[in-house]
Amino acid sequence: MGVIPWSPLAGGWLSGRYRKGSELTGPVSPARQRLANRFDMSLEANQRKLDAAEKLAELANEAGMTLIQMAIAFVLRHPAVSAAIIGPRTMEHLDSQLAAADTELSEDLLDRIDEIVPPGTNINPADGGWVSPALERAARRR
Amino acid sequence: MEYRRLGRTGVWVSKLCLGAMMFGEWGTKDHAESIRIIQRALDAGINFIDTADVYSEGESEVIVGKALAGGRRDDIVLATKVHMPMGEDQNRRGNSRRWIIREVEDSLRRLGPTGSTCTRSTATTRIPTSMRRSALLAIWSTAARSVISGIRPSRSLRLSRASGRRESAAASGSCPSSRHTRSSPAPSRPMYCPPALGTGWA
Repeated sequence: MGVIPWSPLAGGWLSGRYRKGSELTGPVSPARQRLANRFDMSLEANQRKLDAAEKLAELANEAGMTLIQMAIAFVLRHPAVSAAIIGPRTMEHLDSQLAAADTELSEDLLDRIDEIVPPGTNINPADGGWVSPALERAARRR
Repeated sequence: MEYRRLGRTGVWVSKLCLGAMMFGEWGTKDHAESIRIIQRALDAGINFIDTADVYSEGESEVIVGKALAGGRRDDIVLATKVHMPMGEDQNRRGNSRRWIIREVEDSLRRLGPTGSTCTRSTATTRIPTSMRRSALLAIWSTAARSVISGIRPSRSLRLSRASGRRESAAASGSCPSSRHTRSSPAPSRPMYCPPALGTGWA
């Protein structure tokens, strides 16, 4: 089966728009505005996402690439992945994301990404987008 | 642009897939601008587009269809999805065989082009060959469980039992058999299915 992960930029969190000290006005598109719990900055989990986004942006900068390139290349680096689904809303979005097609991440860079967000971690569980019915409350005894 | 095999389908897709959720009411409302974005992506080597019935309530599929008109669609691998609610009714959602078939038809109609190639097949009760092939590739789903439950119906779809439209099946007296589907009038050219897709999902 081919794996085609959606949202390699985590709904914009890894676009460079979400940085410490920047004015955070939330997502522009109605599609994302519906997902309030992924963007509500009063939630502690989203503050931690902001911390991670800041560190990852600094890391990308240090590596001489944009955070967008690093995030998409990270997804594409996984051997199970056939393609990463980008979701541009503007021409500028598209151009910035196409640049990731030529981006390779070094082993060292991958290690440093893992230090910031360990593999298998969902900082905000809401970003998972879906909960297995087997784990829903009704399916559990307690 | 690098191309990779999509699972074991034998289809090669660009490693960047153009997601179409932002085209339409949910994002960029101007169709002309959305179409320019799509065409720029294709010019950059992207051959893989992912949309869904639910994106802007069908508008995304319409925009993608328009962007691919004029000869560009044949070499595109186009994925759309079914599962999320498309109305209040409890059966206009989910992964039932009935809804998947119905919604694949509706998606194909929204994606266009209009005309004999993709109009629904109620008159014959049969799923056109192009649609069966499309279903194999195009039935993606919004959630992991739906991938699994989506594959099963598409498999049975490939076995070509009569479509879920019972009223039309009764009208023509057709029985659920692959021969009937194979003998249905084939469109002049399959629309969304690269020729390499022989065996479908593994």
